[in-house]
Amino acid sequence: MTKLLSANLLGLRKSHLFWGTVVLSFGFGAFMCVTRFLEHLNYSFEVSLSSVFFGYAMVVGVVMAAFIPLFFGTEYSDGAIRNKLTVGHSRIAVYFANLITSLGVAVVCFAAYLLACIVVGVPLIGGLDLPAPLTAAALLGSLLMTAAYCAISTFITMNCSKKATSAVVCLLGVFLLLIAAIMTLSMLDAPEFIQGYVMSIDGQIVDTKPEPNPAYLTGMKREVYQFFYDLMPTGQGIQYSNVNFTNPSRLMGLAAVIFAAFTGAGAALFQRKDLK
Amino acid sequence: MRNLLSANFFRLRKSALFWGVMVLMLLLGAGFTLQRVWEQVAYAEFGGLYYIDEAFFNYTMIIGIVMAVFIPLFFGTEHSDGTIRNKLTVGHSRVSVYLAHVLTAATVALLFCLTYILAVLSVGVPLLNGGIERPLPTFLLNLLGSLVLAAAYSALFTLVTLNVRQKAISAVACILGTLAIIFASFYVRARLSEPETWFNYGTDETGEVAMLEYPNDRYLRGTERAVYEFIYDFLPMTQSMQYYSSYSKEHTPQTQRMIAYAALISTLSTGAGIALFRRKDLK
Amino acid sequence: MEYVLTTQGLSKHYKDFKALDNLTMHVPKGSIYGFVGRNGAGKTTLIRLICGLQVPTSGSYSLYGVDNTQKELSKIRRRMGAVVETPSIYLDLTAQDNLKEQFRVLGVPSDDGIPELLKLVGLEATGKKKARNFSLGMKQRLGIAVALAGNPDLLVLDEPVNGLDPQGIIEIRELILKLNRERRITVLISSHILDELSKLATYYGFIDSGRIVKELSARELETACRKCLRIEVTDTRILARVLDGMGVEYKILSDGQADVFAHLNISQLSRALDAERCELLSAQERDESLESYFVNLVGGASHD
Repeated sequence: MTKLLSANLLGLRKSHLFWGTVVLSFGFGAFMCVTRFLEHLNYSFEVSLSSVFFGYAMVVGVVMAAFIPLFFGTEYSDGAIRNKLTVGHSRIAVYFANLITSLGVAVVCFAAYLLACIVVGVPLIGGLDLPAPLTAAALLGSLLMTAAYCAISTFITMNCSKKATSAVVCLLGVFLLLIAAIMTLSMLDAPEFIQGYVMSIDGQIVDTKPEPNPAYLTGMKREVYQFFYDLMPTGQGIQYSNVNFTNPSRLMGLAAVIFAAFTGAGAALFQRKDLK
Repeated sequence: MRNLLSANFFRLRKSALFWGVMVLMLLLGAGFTLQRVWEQVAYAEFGGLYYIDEAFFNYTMIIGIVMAVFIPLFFGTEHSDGTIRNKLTVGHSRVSVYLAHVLTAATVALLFCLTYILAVLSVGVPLLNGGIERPLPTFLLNLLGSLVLAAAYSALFTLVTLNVRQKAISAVACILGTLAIIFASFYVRARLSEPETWFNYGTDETGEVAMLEYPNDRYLRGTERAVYEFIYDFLPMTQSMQYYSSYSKEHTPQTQRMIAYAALISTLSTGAGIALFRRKDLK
Repeated sequence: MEYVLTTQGLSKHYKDFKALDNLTMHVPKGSIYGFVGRNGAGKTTLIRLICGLQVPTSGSYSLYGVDNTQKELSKIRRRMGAVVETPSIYLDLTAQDNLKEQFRVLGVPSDDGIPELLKLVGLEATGKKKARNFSLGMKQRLGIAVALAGNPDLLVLDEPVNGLDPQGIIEIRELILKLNRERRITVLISSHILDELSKLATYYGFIDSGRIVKELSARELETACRKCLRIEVTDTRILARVLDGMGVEYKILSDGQADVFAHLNISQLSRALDAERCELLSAQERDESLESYFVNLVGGASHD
């Protein structure tokens, strides 16, 4: 396992894709901070670093959905995976070495983004104004969510022998999850009551009595929607990036479940796969 | 050129991916229309008209991402399996190889759109009570525009696919590019739909609390607004949004401009694509 | 002599690397031209250039007398077929559909020729099997069939036996010979497997570091390769003395073996040895192999 990991590490060090992704992540962080700063200059908005600091949680899924198939898919397309298996590494070890490596890459990219926020953001828009426990929860939670993303993309990449197909499946998967999360959020966000303003005859604006909103989700239905919103890594990404979550331990638990489920299933499938 | 086209269409007929997407478009068309039908039934007590338009123009939002997947996977094989060599060695020029691919891609996009439309019409015409909302000339102009737009997407993705040797990389580039355009489009639209002023409670000059009108700092003005409006009409995804939403219902000049832009995108990307492809060293 | 393909000072540079360096070669009509060189010598680069996949940095080439700068070349290309490096086939199509596809590319009006072509390369029984599931040899043969689809006069094959099993090698060899003899197809075949090439080629071009080092016909090669007599005796010291006395060139290989580079009268030699109490055990005529000719030509391992 250590050997496999060190082989992967060597591959990463030589990979333009890897360094490109790290640089882009840093650039993205800097871009977000500068955009906020410009908004502050142009429109005199109150801005703070907290609004961008966890922004990477929104994009890390897409980044890994592109990176993992392109980097590890090469093992199939170039046949390098055979070299590992023929010299006696177990399939489980190969699978986990790739999973751990991809997780490492995700962490490095996330760190590059955070570094950009600190180096570029702090001088421009000031430091974090969040309580320490909340920051810690968001950091830990994003990490677990990232692990869940890596598990999903590794599951697909290791069990699909065509690199291009796994890239398309991973990216479309994240894209669909993103749309699903946004739609779920908009349904959950529907207000419970609709308050209308009515212009009275003499031209005064009068508030009407709040009426219940038929689109408001209640009871069991609301819980199911909330559950899926919390379960989807994209839903978690929205919550972490806005630092707007109520039950971090639940989010972390669900991310861990996704990670375990995809890794278990992925390793089991890979174990039985016929390789060329 | 005719030979190349007939070869492409032969392979298309044999492609599981092509037929898979055709079925998907059929299902999506039927699905979106049935959703409107379901709403019509569920909210029957409120009455109201349910139009075909919304389900109809949904495909403009989908076709971009569909082609971003289809073109690299289908035409990327020419590089990855090396079959492009069979065409060049026997004397087809690079320009005609490229053009044959663009034309095939645009035809595929058209077929996908028409399949979707067919599904919408066969479900929507008998079941929805509103018929077509937009005036017929506008509707047809929008239809034409959205099809030109589909061709523009095809031209863009062909540019990437034929100039990148690795199929996986062109697939990732096309999909990520589309995602980036989608996010940029949402941003542009959000900025353009900022209200010029906003209302809030405040104390007026007499000292009483009242609803007051404030200017919105984020409202775009002058050149900045013109630039955003240009982007809004130019970007393929914002065009999709306009065809989809009712925005273009009364905006015929806008639609004509969008069609011109989409044609421009097709021409420019095909020109650039050919220029790059002609100079490319193939393996 | 009529040439199908000639190149004049052809060069191709990738950044600082000169893959082809002022290369001049002549492929005679009707020949099987063996293009010999080690890996990385520039064989594939040359083939990519003449197939129009890449543009030369300088120099030119002509196919059937038409220069690569002339417009008519694209029409002339219709007369050639090629397999460059890996077979160019659609992996998700069957053998038959791959040929149908190429027939359309070529504008062949009818698919009638397909069964014959499949039979020619021995793929008539593959049915609905997709090319993805073919063995390497089958893929290679399908690649050749696709190259043959346009009834070419010139067939370019890049390392066609690379990675094939012995049976596959024989099949490809027989196919090439058949095409050359029965259909009068000129074949340009690159390889680094010299032994295999020597069973086919009627002309040779030796390439090293992007240049043609030597071009000659198989007959010329035969004369150039020196004949020798390998002699086995009980004592080569005595043999050396006797041969010195006869004034011929030789090389001692071991205590019991030597090569003699001259036409000898064996009885005379035997008698002379007998007189010195040395026995002549065997004598065998040997050719200097193509391999050693090649090694002499390009200077052994010095380039590696």
